Amino acid sequence: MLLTTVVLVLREMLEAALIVSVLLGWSVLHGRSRRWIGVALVTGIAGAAVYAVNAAAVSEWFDYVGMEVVNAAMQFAVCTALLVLAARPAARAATWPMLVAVSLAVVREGFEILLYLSGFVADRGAWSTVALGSALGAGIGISAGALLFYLVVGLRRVRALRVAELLIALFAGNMAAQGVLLLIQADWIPGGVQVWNTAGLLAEDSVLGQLLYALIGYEATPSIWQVTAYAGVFCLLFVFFLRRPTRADGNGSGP
Amino acid sequence: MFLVVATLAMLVLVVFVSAVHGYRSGMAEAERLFDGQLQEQAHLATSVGSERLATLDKVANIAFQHWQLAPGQPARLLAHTDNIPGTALVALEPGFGHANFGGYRWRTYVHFAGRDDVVVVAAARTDIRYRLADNVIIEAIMPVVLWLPLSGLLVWFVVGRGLRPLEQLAEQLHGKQFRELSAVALERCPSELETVVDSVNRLLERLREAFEREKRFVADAAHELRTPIAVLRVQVHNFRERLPEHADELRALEGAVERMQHLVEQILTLHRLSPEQLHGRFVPLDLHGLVQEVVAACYDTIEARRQHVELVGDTDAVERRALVAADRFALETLVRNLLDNAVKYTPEGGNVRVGVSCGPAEVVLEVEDDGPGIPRAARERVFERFHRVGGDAHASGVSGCGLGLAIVRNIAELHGARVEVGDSRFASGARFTVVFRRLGAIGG
Repeated sequence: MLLTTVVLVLREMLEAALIVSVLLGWSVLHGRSRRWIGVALVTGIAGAAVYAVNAAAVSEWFDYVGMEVVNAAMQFAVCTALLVLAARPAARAATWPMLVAVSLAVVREGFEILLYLSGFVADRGAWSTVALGSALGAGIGISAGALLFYLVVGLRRVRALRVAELLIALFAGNMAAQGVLLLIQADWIPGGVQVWNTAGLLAEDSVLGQLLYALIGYEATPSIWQVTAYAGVFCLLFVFFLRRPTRADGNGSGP
Repeated sequence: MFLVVATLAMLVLVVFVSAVHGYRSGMAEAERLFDGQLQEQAHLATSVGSERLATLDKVANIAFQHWQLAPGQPARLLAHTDNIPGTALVALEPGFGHANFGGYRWRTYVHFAGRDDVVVVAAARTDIRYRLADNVIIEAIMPVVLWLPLSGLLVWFVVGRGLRPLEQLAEQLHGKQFRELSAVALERCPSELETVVDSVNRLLERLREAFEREKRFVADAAHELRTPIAVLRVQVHNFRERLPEHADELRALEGAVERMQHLVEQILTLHRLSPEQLHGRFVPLDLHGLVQEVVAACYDTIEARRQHVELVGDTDAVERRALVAADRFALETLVRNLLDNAVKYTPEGGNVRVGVSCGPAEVVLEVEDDGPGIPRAARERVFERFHRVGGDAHASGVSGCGLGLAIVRNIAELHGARVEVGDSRFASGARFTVVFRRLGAIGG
């Protein structure tokens, strides 16, 4: 149970820590204040708690696929915020798309953790194991995020921006693919053909498989729609990021 | 901040990953231990007669079956404990396996006794084995996690202590006054920082020597120029007497020599006003009284230009004395340079006003005129050395070397005063304001 808890909490924490670190690094590289991150984290944690409390009601929406649909909507919203951030070079220093992306990512990942932990509320005997597993998973995830942040901002500015752009594009692709998977699970879009099967090479439920899922959205048996969404969003962001700011674009603005 | 967060993050990452790895290894080791125990219990069960087998489950959470093999016939169950069904649960082949019965999953071990073809099947509940191992290993890991906040505090404290000398060094360098090039010294200098402090001090020493050489050279050169310039002035004067037909050219030459002499005097004044020269010569001085003396000394020049000079002192400044801690020569030079400047740039018949006033903590000297004034954009640069508003082609046509106001600012800085330039209260002109700390002021 400890390992299961560690892996689950770590997977969700890593996903959130990745986007928090990269966008915070992005913000620092563009000379913006870091205050928005506090607002985003508090909003995200509060949102996750509200969502977890109302999980049962939400799951009944849309003919009992409410949770899948709401989660998919959040994934697409994060993806859209990142696309907005990259679309106009002048808006790259704007803080509101980053605030939206981090808040929703924290709601999404925090909700998964709270839902898992709520399953042990009645089982007092398992609490110490679950608490320890959560502490270990959260500690590893947060530490990895902090080190990633320092790694990004520690690079030379041009290289740091390229690394941050790549990580943002991977994260957005992952969000889009996960959103599509949730809609497939909700039967809102057809499953489509399976593009590859690497379950024998690297199982999704293995520790490495779960870590890669958190970092780059690894799927052992993705459908054509997931691959299309991932590749489409990744390439779109990549093209957006290739457009460099010109003098006329200025330095952008934020709240 | 970076060091503390990065160190803590690495510490947490390494310790927690090690804890997870330790848990996995511990569980695998516990599994081996429990298997060994099950194996031993199966061996022991061979010595227990089939008739006593039913009592064993009361002393341990373990189940047994005794089977007898007969060639060509199915295996026959001889006995079993109450907590295991009387049916075959696993294939009767030696070794470990798993079986599900009684609502639990069991770890099984099949042992061939080697006598009378008896086979022992021993089974232990996996959930109990798992819980036992889990409890023991978690008890071992828990302190690592619980003590980590203390480790964090220690890291924060040690990093803070370790960086303190570096912060002290930065504070000392940052707090150095203008041209203060004395060596830096730390209360406690760790060996890692010794090289840095040593290099900084050697750099400061080289810089101080370079400044000294430059100042000595300029002062010596100016001093050496005084005599030939004086001789030159006398000779030009003599020539004017002897060659009246060249009076115009010689007057221009005499003016140029006068400017040269003024420049040399100003350079020497700058040298005399260096911090080293002034060190320890500050005494309480009444600024109002000193201004009166300077105005009186310059009165001939002012009168020659038919200018009107007014000395204004508020009641407080006159009655209670506007006391400042200053070097007399330096303060006289400051007042004279400001007055000279005002007189020089005020047209003949113009007005010059000198004011001394006292605030609760400061003494303010104001010198203003109704000359052309100084454009707003040029105000900061007027205090630079050899800078003249409008360059050499100065609109006023007044000669000068561009050192007077630089000397004023230099003296003001040495006295901890601030000097500003603005518009005069006349219709036109400039106003120079010097704000000194008042001696004996509360909190001053």
